[in-house]
Amino acid sequence: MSLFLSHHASIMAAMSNIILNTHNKLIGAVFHEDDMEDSRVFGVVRGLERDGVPVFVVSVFVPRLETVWDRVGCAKIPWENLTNVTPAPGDNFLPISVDHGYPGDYSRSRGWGQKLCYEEQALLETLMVATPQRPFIPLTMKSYKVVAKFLESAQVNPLLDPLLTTSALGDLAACHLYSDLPQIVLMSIQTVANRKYGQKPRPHHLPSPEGLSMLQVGQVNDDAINSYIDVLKMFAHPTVHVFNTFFFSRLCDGFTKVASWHKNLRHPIFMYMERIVMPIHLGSQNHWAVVSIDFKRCIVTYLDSIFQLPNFEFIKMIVAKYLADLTAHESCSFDLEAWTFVGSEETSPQQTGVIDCGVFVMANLRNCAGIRPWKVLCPTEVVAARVQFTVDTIQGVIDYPFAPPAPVAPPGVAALTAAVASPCRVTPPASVAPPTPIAPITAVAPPAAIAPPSSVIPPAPVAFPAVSPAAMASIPALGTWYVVAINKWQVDEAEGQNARLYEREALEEFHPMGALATSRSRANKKQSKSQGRIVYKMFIYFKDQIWAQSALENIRAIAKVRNYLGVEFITLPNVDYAGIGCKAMDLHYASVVYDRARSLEERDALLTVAPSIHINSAQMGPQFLEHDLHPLPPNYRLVMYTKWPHVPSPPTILRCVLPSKSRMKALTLSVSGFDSL
Amino acid sequence: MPDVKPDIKERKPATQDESEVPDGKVQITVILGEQTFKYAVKPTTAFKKVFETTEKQVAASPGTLRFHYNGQRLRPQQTLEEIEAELDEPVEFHAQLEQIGGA
Repeated sequence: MSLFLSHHASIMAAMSNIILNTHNKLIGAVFHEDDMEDSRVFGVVRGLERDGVPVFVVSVFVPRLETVWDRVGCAKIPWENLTNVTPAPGDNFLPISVDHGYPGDYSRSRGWGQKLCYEEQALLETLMVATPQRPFIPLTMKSYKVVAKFLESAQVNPLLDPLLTTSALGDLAACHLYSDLPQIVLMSIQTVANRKYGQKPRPHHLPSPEGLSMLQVGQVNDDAINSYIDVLKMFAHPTVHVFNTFFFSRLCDGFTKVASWHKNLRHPIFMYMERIVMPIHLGSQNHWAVVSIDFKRCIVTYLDSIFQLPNFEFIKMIVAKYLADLTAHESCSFDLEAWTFVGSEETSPQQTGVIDCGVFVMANLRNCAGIRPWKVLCPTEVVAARVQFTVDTIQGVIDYPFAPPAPVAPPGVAALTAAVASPCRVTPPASVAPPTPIAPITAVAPPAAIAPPSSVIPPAPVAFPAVSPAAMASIPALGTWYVVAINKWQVDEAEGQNARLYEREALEEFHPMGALATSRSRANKKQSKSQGRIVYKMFIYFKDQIWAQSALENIRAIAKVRNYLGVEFITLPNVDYAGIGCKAMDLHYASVVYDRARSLEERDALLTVAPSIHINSAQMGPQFLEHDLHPLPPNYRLVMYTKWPHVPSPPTILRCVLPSKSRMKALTLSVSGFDSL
Repeated sequence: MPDVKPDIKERKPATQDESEVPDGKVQITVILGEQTFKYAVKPTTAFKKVFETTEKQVAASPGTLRFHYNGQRLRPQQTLEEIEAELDEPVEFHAQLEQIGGA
């Protein structure tokens, strides 16, 4: 039995066609049609083979939660239908995999879920709706029609449905389906967005159409980079500031030219920043580079995709002068002797193309801004990265390095056909997505080669090679796999502002209620409990995403009970961690964030996972930043029991002691299949 | 307005007259390299006008100049109100040529 649903007839028709064309055993369909403006759901059909019988899974993409829940009547019905379906014996039935919009990553929610109560969220989690992990630009149906009109007049592919939002457009463009997506379309999107948000400006601005098109195919101009920086700033680490491209140009003319630039920093006092990052335009050479100034470690890093010593010397001179001027102007003192300047071909991946430096700059900016997962742009990924950066810029969400999903589009057919043709493994329906092949390392041009985001798309057939025997053999010995690090932000009283910021961010990021908690924390601001608090962030690195996922499920369940604990899983592909002794192709890690441990005892008893590997930033590569990894403090018990076999049996134990608000509670995470201690 | 230049002071009565009208104008200075251009702009006027005029004056092709205010990038559709400019001080916009880089 194939089961699928959509809120839109044309999507349904498309999916039915796909299914009927590839598989004539379409038995039933849940179909919900309504013309509500904002209830947009679209889906992707994927073929799977289960016990030799092809079945189909539909991922339903629900763009924005509130639009769904605002219209409870129309949104819940199909889902209820779903749950009421009882597959007849012999039917191959996979429930629609549904994930809520912010899986484990509340920081991206930006106010989503405000209207979700716990029950609703529980329902959502039960249903497991798979959504793209980014908000759509909320355009109304009227706007769609405007866009559609543009599309028609431009005679784009008629398959393009007006339902598709700008996000979908971006995805389609990303799929290279519409690599010739006319500028007029992008312009129309921009116009519509501007019209809609004319009164209430959007947090970031779209670059000009020229900038966008250049970002996709040519040399990158300041407009594209600055727009991307606007987006970056929303997601950057709170202690990192990213200047725009003009900062350095003006800095070259003297410190006074940029003195006013410091006014608009998020922190009133400049030196609260741990790091500032700036793109550098070397006008004479038509080149982009990045400089990161780390105040905490007194390191200036120069990241250039075509490293040349004279440039480095020049940058050194300017930055040294800037630091000296800062000392003079900002009533803060550096020991200028203590500063080191790092710059080599090692600090940044080196480009192979002749027009790609802007793309490398954007990737480096992203890394330096403290956005995780950390991702080194591989020169072969430039094309995909350009697309992803474009999509990110348009949508105002940092999704890179995850490639966008392919919505209703021919690639789906291709994947589907391939899926039916070739048997593949099926994961249990309840589980989250299995590891997809780590992004398109070799993928350059063909649309299908862009992998879907690993955490969004349910079992992409090609995407589940699991671990081949050869790869198994290459897996290092047990116990060399897991990396644990604690990240500590101490908040002293002097930094009341920081403390509030941290607290708010922690709440926003990790509270299931999202922005609701923020308002509450704002209400509580007067009490100023945040001072002197300490925020902990702990990263646990798993070798295998499946383990990480099952752990995540459990940790998330616990986190739900305790409001203050947030969990996120991030994959770290394509990083070569020489110091860890594993290829990071399949190094996945989960990060568990502990918030507001109130006493030393609580702190000490945070978590036990072992055996940990103490690594420092030096081992993690030149760009790994300090707040990514701290060496393990001696008073932390981090024990990981190493009976974890490779595949498929799960890790033996993951024991976790979590602080609760009133008293400390020990919780054993009994991940399914885990033995307890 | 303590630090304004003389020519503005001359205009001051006018602005005072205008300040009785709800939409008084604000003087902004656009600095491009050595050149400066001064405009009186309503707080609700989109910068597009300013940008286009400046581009015309320096004979730059449209869209090739970038403007920023205290490090904040300015967009054609923004207004003084929107960027929350501090009107106590002279408002100075800095213009720069487009930057582009490939290799």
